[in-house]
Order: sequence, then C-alpha cells, then structure tokens
Amino acid sequence: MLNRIRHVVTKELIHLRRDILLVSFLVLGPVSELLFVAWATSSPIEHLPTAIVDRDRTEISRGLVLALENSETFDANYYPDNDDELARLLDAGSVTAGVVIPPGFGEGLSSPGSATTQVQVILDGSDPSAARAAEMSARGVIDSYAYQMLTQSWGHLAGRLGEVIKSDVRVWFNEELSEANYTVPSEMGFMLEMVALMIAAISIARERELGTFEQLMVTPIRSWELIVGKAIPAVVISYFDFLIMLGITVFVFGVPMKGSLPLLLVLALFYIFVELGWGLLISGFSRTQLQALLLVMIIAMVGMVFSGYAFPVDTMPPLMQTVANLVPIKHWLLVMRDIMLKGAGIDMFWKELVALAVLGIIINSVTLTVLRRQLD
Amino acid sequence: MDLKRTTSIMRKEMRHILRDRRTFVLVTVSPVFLLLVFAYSMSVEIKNVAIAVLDYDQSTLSRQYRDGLASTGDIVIGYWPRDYAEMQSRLERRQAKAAVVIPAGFEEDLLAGRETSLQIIVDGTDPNTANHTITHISGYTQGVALDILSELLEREGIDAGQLSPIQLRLRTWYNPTLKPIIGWVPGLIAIVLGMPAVAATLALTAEKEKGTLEALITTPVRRSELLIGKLIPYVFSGLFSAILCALVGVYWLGTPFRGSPLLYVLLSADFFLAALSISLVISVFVPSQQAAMACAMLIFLFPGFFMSGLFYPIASMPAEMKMEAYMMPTTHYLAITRGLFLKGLGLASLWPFAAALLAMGIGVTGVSIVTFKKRLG
Repeated sequence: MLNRIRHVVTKELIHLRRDILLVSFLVLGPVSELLFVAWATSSPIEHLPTAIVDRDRTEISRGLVLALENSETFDANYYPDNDDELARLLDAGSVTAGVVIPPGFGEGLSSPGSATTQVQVILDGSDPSAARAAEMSARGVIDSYAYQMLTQSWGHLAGRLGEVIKSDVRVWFNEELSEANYTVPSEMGFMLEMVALMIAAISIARERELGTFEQLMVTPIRSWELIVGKAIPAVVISYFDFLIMLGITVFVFGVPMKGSLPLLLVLALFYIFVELGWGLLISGFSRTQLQALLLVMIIAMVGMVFSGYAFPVDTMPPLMQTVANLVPIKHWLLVMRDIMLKGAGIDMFWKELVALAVLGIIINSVTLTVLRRQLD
Repeated sequence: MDLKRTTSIMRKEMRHILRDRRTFVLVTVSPVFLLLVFAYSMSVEIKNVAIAVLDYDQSTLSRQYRDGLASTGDIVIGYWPRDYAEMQSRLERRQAKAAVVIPAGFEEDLLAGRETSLQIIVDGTDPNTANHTITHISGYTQGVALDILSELLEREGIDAGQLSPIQLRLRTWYNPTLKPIIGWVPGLIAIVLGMPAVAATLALTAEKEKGTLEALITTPVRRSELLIGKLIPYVFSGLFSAILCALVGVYWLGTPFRGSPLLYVLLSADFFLAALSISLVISVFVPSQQAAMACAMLIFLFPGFFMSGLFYPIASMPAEMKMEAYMMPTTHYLAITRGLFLKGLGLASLWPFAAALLAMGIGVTGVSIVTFKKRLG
C-alpha cells in the first residue's frame, strides 16, 4: 500500500520536475506577489489628492487647510478658482476630495457666540474606500480644529474648556493600528489558498484531459491511494510557500509573532489539508484543466470576499455570515491573526478550529466519494 | 495579412469556444456571478459594531451617556461585563470590537465641574473597523462633553453661544444616495471582467499542450493572422460578459449608467484587447496550462483585486507601486467604468485611459507576434 502511494508521489514529482517553469511560478509567484501587494497596501489610506477652494483667505482658513494636510490624509494639490473647475477636477479623477471654505469663515470663528460657519467637503463617491477614509478623517480634523479655535477665542474661559470628559483611547492587539498587521497576513492567506487549490485541482483534471487517467484506472492502485499520492506533493509545495511567506510577513513587514510559532506551523498544515480537499473536489468535477482552473479562480475570489479582508464579516447580513462560515479561509485568517497579533492559544479560537475541522471532514469525504465513484 | 485566413482562424476559435458548453457558460457567466457575490457582500456598511460597556458608575448620567452611544445604529452595546476581566475576555474572544469603561464618580465629577476620564479600549486587529469605532465613540463623547459644558456655563450666567462653531457639510458626488452598493459596482465590473482574460490565457495555451498547434503551423496561415484570428473571438466573448455585467449592474443592482452605452462597449473592447494581448504573450511563452494559470493569476487576479484602486486608492501607494498599478489594464478600465457608470463622462475625459489601453494592446500583441515567429521559425 505504502509502496503504491510512493509510486504515485514519484510520478507526480517527475511531472513537476519536467515543468520547471511551473514549479518556479508556484514557489516564487505567491512570494513575489505577496511582496508587491503587501508593499502597495500596507500603509493606511492617505495622501488623497484634494482641491481647496478657499473663499475666505484668512489666517484661520489657512489654518484649517494646514490641519487637513497635517492629518496626512489630504494632500492639497489643487486650488481651483471656482466650482466649475472643482467639478472638472473631480470628474477627471484628479482629486478625491474638495474642500470649500465660505467667505467670512475666519470672522465667524473668531467672534464668540456668532452663527455657525459651514465647511463643505465634497467626496468622490465613485471611489468608496477613499471616500470613506476621507470622510472619517475630515470629521476628526474639523472637530478638533473647531475645538482649538474655541479655546483660543474664549481666552477667559480657556480654563473651563479643558476637556470635560477626557477620552483615554487604548488600542489592543495592534497597538499602532498598523495597516500591515491586518492586510499582510490576509494577503498571505489568499496566496496560500490559491496555490493549494490550484495544484490539487489540476492534478486529476490534467490526467483526464490528456487521457492518462484511463491508464491509471487499469493499474492495481486504489482510489484513496491515488488521492493521497497526489496530495503529498501538493502539500509539500504549499507548505514550503507558507514558510517563505511567513518569513516575509514577519521579517520584511514586521508583523509581530506574539503567539506560539510551533502551533501556527502545525495548524497551517491542517488548513492546507482542508483546502486540498476543495481542490481535489474541483478536480473531480471538471472535465478539462480549463474548467478546473476557472472554478479555482471563482472559489478563491469568493473566499476573498468572505474572509473579512475588505469588509468585516460581523456586520454582514445573517445569510452572508452563514455563507462566510462555510469558507475555510475565513476561519484560518482569524486563527492566524489570533496567534500572531494576540498571542492567543487554542482556548481562544477553538471554535474556528472546530469549524475548520468540520469543513475539512465534510469536504474531504465528499471528495473521496466523488473520486472513488469515478475511479472504480 | 490576409483577411480570409484570419477569419477562418476566427471561425475555428469561435467553434472551440461555443462547442464546450460547460466552459462557455463558466467563462461568460462567472463574471456575473462574482459581481453579484461581491456586490452584496461589499455593500455592507460598518454598522452594528458590537461593543461592551463596563459601567462602574451606574448613575443617571452614565445611563444617559451609554443610551446615546448606541442610538445611531453604528454601534450596538452587545455586552455588559460585570468586571474588567470579563470585558477583557469579550475582547480577546472577538465578541466585542471595543469597550467603554465609565469610571465610578462619573456623574459626581461632571456635575461638580471636575474633569473625568473615560477609557475606550479598541480591538486593533482590523484597523479599519477600529478607526471607525474610535471616531464614532470619541466624536459622540465630545458632543456630550460640550452639552454638559454649556449647561455648566449657563448655570454660572455665562452665555456660551455656539459650542460647536464649525459645521461640516458633507456631500458625496456621483453617489448622493450613499447606497454603498452603487459605489462599488462599476469598480467590481472592471475586476470580474478579468475572468475572460484568464480563461483566454488557458484556452490559448491548451492548443499548445495538446499538440494541435503544430498542425496549424504547417498550414499557410501566417503567424500574425493566426494570433490575431485567435484573439478576436475572445474579445467578443469578453464583450458578451461585459454587456451581461452592465445589465445586471443596472437592472438588478440598481447602479445608474450615466455615460454612453456605445462608448462602454467600445472601451470594453479596448480593455479586452489590452488584457487579451497579455494572455496571448503568456500563451506564447508558457508551455502548460498550469503554468499559464499561475502566470495569469499573478497578472490578473491578485493585482486586479488589490492594486487596481478598488479597495486601496492608487494615490496612497508608494511611487514604485503606482507605476506597477498603471501597467495593468484593469487599473485603467476601472477608471473608465467608474467614469461611465457614475460620472457620466465622455471620451473627452476618458481618452487618457483609453489611449493607455490601446497602446498596451497594440504593443503587447506586436511583441507576441514577433516572439512567436522566432520561437517556431
């Protein structure tokens, strides 16, 4: 039995050795991609090009522009003269935000008790993530600038205007609120998912497309032996990728590794098995490699959506949350973050592990049944 | 270049596409499927973030404070821990995203005009949600503080007037209803339409792997005719998906389409020309479908998803990465779909993106024609 498995492994390794280009893509591809993608997206959303229409032109209005720029979110690169020009800049996508300061702004602010002055902030709603970041930042900046002005102009009350309720904000688990600590492990999760799915999905579909599948069926090999034999090289390559990417995540992007490394290493292997099951299942359903690979793409992209990368799963509607729970990568990313960022042990994320295990058992047993029916 | 020979290659390729029903459906319908999944899951606003409130004061004022906190619907008070340890475990177990600790003597201090301090603890693992939560809680707290302050000042006979002198008037252009789904759909269409390009990469490589390419080479068909003849049918199948996606986007998901539909079709063809020319060049260089897939994944899937400006604005990227982003067809096409659907722009504003795609398409097809000749000649 072990012998037969070994033969399949040897056969698979010969295939891989012949296609050196593929192996280098499989190993270097995810790694270089992680470097690029993580490099591009690891800082918070800032330096959004902004147009300023300052109709006040006082020290106070200039102070507000400065405060906006100091927040790093806005780069005031355009000073259009009128609204038409502002509209043109937004249309062309040259700016993401426009700030319009009305005449009399400074005067209104420096005389206590006078009417409220308005600042208009226009956002490009066609770029929702930039608009969201800009909105949050603008609110913060304008509120604190207003407060600062208030304290200055009401000198005699300044003592009383010290913060009545002081907000003592503490951030746990990711103290500097570093974007990289969140995005890089997620991106690494995607690359790993993709590689594992791809190698597994192709393995059987390729034999079928090239007609060598029939030859395998006439050998004494049993279906599960074939599956195990095909899974082993896939596990080895995926795991190797994982190790390199983990190294990059920690050493290049400085994501902390607070928890137990051996635990993470063991659980990664466990996760790869779950994904391999998916991959082999796709393989069983596809007649050609093209179909297998397209299905891999679809599953991987759906996985990204429900992984909580761009949108928190907790706030999704219940139906979506149910779907998200069926996606292995969602659980895996939580486990990985818990270990790396929180230094948590199994007692904190046993639920995710159980979910992964249940998914793994279901997926792999369906895979075995489907492939067995086809093989025997 | 002979038109007849090119069209016969086109016919052959068209038959390949149409004969394999399962693959055809997978290629043309999968973008629509992905569009729907993405759109529904992304239209989620950060709402109903569950937080824990640990109220050591249990006074009228502290109750007022925490009731107001949850009144906007951005935040839900999901947990009332009894002590600090319970609160800590709620955060560690990801049940609560943030916690507010109201100190004992909160009301007493405030009424006496003394400063009091609230502790806000946030789970920072997801910086986006964390920032949102911090902004919300501190903004609300500041408002409460100003209300209390003006009350105190008035009691002492000082006219406080306006305590929040700057009012922010926020206007979101192109999507004034603020339905998040509308903002996302055009960008998502640009991303999911990378699928036909990936499919084409694989289909073009398949011929090589199966050995039928050699048969073609022995025919009098020239290289350029062969490659262009292979390219065009995939442009058409891509356009079919593009139109399908636009229809679903407008009639099902309710996105406005403010530009010219004809321009959409033309510029989509422009995009497919650029994207498929990359597919072509991959298929010329890469021997197997597996390797082609790995390659297509590196060029279309991940950069398309992460670096095209959909989630992460290109303006915020480091300079080197900006360059890489602009080297990808999806980035330009994303600007085009946003411009057409939401902004209602014409060619006068969109020409730089269209020109970039055209240049890419012609340049890369040229490269593949030249290299293809060399490799077989």
